[in-house]
Amino acid sequence: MRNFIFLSIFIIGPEYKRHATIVLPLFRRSRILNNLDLIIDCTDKLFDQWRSKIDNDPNHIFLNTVDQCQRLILSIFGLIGFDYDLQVLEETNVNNKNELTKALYDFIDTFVITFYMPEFASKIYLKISPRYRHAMIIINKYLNRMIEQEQSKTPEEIAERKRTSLIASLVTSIQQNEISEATKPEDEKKGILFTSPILTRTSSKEPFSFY
Amino acid sequence: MLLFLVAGSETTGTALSWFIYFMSKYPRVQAKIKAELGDNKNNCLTIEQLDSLVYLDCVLEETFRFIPPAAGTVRSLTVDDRLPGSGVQLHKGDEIFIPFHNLSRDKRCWKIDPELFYPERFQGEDRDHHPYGAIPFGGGHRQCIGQDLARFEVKVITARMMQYVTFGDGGPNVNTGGYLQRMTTMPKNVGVTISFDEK
Repeated sequence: MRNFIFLSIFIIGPEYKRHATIVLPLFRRSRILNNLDLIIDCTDKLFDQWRSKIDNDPNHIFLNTVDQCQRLILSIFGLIGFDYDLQVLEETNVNNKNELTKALYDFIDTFVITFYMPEFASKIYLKISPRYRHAMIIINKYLNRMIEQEQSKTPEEIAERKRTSLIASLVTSIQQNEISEATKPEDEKKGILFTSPILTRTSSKEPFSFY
Repeated sequence: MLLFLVAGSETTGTALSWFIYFMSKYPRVQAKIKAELGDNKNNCLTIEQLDSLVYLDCVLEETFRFIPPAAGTVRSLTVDDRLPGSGVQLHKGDEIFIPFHNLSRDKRCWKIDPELFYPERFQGEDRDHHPYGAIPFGGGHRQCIGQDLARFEVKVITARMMQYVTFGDGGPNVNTGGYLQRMTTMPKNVGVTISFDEK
């Protein structure tokens, strides 16, 4: 079961402490409270969609609230965590599943299939699954955009924001020389390495992808 | 980043979906939340107002207990151990799965029937429930790092919803609930009416 997405859950010892140092402070309640208005604004956008449906048909029965809730949270998390508008709450995307949400659905569905496979079997399955591979292309496209947006900021801006923004913290944690950093003993490593055997990046601007 | 995106959206979105479903099924609970909002019903939300919504806290706690979005968590044994009930021998390094749903429905952990959706339990008999009866975010120093954010998001959104809208049951053909087990335990069939409250 110690396979890809669970890497961050299963890591222990100095490796866990290194990751925790970067990520944990950003999720403290005091940092979260500032996002109240942002969450309310996104919720109000969802209300607008509901209103437009009800205006046409006051007795309309909503069958897609599960999808809408996922979208709402995804939108909020994109803004809070990555300072990026994923546009999954846009009016034009109400009836058609947004490209990213569909890709995330496909990613999760294929992941769940591999959940009970031995690690070698899950690796093979994911390598040959067109659904998974297509989903990862879409997801990586969005993650790349987020990183590029963050990297377009000045180093001073990023350094200022890394205390409150997840994406800024992750981007500043990228090592200049990952290979050199990877060869250090675990307790001397700093930041998050993206060239681990399981999580790999294919270029300096690409986010980590699996396998 | 992908881990954060998936973990940060799917779990919380699922909890929110269950909240809407439960509101459509339990109008008494929905009315009580709206009553608690009282004079604040159509005003802006502040942190202080949110903190004052203790009944909403109970409803959300009950939502997380009744259907924990995550099926469970995994822990690695640091020493050999033996399960007291079954006598099963466990060894150092073994990975064990802790199912949240089983714990939250275990009658030994609750004074009020755990099969009931009853938020008031957290204000009364089950206020001091078994500490492991409801651990939807896991426990210990490796519990969910996004717990505070998830709880805050859900509370803000649900408070905002209860300020403005009322959810109704869409009927026995479409609002049947049921489980859809993906990475989280999602409601399978939710069909609700939504009406905006008179201001």
